[in-house]
Amino acid sequence: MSRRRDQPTRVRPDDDRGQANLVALVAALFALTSVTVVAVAVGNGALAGETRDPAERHAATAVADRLVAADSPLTNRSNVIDAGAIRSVTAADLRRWYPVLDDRAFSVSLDGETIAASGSAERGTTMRRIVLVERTTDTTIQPRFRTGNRVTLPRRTPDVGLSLDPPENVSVSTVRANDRTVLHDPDGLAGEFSIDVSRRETVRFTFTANGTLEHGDVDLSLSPRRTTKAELVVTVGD
Amino acid sequence: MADPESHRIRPGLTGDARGVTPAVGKTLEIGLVVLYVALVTTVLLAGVVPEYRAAAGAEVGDRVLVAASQDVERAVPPDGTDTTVERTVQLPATIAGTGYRIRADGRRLVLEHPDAAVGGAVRLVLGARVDRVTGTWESGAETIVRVTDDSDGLVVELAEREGSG
Repeated sequence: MSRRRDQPTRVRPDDDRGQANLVALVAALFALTSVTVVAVAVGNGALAGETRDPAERHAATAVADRLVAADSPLTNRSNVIDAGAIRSVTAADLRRWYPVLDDRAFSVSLDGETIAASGSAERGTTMRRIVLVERTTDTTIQPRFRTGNRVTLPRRTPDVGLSLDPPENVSVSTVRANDRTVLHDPDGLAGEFSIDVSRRETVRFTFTANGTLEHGDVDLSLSPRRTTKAELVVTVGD
Repeated sequence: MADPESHRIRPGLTGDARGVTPAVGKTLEIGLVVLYVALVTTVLLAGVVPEYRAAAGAEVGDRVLVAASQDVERAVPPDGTDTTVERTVQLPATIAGTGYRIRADGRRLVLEHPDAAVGGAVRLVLGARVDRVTGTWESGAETIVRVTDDSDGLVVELAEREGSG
């Protein structure tokens, strides 16, 4: 190069003219090669960066769906989780119910509180489901019967345990839940009864008796259910 | 060549022979380009492209298998409902340019493909009501999943719609 600058009249010798084209061609091919290599590298990177594991995703989706399904061991009905059942669930239970979790790290949490976990699944696929958590509390009431032989249940409940122990001189012949007759015995009712009532309306029990009932003559045990919203999070890793 | 003295004493490319230079140059160029194209084509078609095809095929195969298993799982109806279900399952006709089969193996779906890089098995997550999973899907056919009630429980069958290829 320096020589050409020194001798400006002989920039390009006569027999160099064909090679000037070749140099341009080689430069062009080199550029083309670079582009190809870069394109292949980008494609390679895109393929290598495609790390989403469909099997992992499948496991997370399937387990989350099965957990909130109506026939899940944890639910009372679809999307309603039994609070007692989910507190006692273990990672071994989940592996037994859902063999797809074999050899995988996973964790199941409810509202941020981890319920069952196995291995470290932080980098796995996460599925979230909004669920209701249903708690059943047992309460017993002893009506005082200040306004006649009737009592209104304070909470809605699917069934009522009724314990009738009337005094000697009082005979209870009929028990009605709202307008429906649920117990009837003209000779007098006494003892323990279990009555199914509607969970969708407030129930008032009316006792038909030949006298006035007192506090302590009737025990009612209820199991009202309380539901709260929660988020069930299932994470499945490798 | 760069030496200005040397080219004068070389025969052939001096004086009246200069007219040949373009022809020689073009021939060289053509040769070079042909060689280059051949080289690049060989490298791409023999190494890079089949490798990518296999890798893409494997990824597609995984996804097809997972999508199929999700369709099978969703076809199982919830408890207490009518237990005869027929549902169409969309499957791609080919993976990496070839047909394939998906068959039931116990409680798993297995993808069978001529290319060893494509394939795999996925475990189905089904309720206890499902007794067994049977059948095979050939790609290209109109594939359905059929759930019927049996004395032992539900039977999930991978089937093809009547009259389809």
